Amino acid sequence: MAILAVTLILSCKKHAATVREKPGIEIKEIGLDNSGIAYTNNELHLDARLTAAGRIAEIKVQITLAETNYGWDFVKTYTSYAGLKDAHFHEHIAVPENARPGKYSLLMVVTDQAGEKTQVKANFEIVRDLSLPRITNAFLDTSNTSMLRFSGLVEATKGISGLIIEVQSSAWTRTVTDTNPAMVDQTRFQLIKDIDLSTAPGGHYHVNISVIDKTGKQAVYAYHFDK
Amino acid sequence: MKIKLFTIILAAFTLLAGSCKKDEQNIPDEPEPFVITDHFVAGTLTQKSGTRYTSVFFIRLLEDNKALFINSSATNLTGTYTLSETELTFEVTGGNARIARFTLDKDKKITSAYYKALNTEYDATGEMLPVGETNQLAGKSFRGEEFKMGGVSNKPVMIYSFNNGATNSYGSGFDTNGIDNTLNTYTLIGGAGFKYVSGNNVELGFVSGKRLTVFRSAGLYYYGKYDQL
Repeated sequence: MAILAVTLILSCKKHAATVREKPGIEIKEIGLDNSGIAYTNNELHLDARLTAAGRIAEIKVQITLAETNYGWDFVKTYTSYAGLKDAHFHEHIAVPENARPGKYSLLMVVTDQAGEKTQVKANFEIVRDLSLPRITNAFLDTSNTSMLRFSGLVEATKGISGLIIEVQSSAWTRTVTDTNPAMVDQTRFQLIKDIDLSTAPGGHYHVNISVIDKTGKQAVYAYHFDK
Repeated sequence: MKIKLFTIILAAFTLLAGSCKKDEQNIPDEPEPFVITDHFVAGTLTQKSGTRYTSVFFIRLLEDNKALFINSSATNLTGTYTLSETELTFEVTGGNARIARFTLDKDKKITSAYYKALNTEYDATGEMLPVGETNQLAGKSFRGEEFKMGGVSNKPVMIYSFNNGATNSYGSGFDTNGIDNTLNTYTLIGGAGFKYVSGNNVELGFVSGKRLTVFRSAGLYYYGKYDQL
């Protein structure tokens, strides 16, 4: 009877003193290959490992100029990772052409479903590199469910070396390398590329298209579609 | 005797368990804490002297005490803020130095505003608005008088009509029937503010209560307050 009483008292005390575990954030990459650099008119590659014993509720990404001045800013709350205890956060954030070059602060805040928060800060730089290869007028045609057609104007002042197109869902992945002789070494090329999706199951797909020039510089463009 | 002892112990347990439960139940409902990042400031600035006009600004209050000053400029101004029980201060240092100070009451409502950019002080107003997910402008129309620089009437009747569809768009004019509210696509700010940019033309405003405050920069400056129809 005495043991029962002690257990009851302790359980009562324990309940009041529950310590919640905070979410964890480990930023793996800011910029391609964790270069800490993003280019204007391109994308900031952001990759992080997130853990939350209390399951993720939302992830906020905040980018502001490091100093106080006019500059580019980005604030977005991602809820697509909600419910996960362990998430691979991978997003491409478009950096506009008119983004002011300079040092920027990135803040990532993960909130779990109990309201516990963890935040991590990191710095990166925005650089305007006019010699960077690029794709303009890009269009992803998904009207044919068994064929993905990507079109766009590929430009590289140092000459085009090739393209790498990755199509990925949780169940299906294809990587296509395009070194079409008619395109390689050109500075401008009107691209039309078809990718066979006949074996791809339904789902949400990510498409990463990398254009690489003859000096090895590359720009990555990210797209999404649902099949 | 044994039965009596058992009854006493049982009663003691019931009381103990009950008191444990009571501890949880008796915690009074605490008021929702004020979260500054769930709010933004919308306000107006008017020159104290010279040719007067009234422009609109927003201050988005971000994490890590960062803040964005949004007005008719193409890019936002990054600054910092500090919050005390009675005051919110936004500050930018360096070449674009400015300070905005807002006095707060116990409910965090702004009771007075001060704004100074470089060495120029302005008559300022400010409202602390909650950041909302839903568009408070959608489907609403507002009517009022538009003024130009110097406080001179530009259009005695000006109507703003905000689309209720999937896109955030609006139109304006003097005749409700002639307004195409799918014409101008705007960026929603905090659920209650908007900013429309087309080339050098910028229009921004916010709704508070049933009143829309707008500033328009189209080479010249125009502004007004409009009541919901």
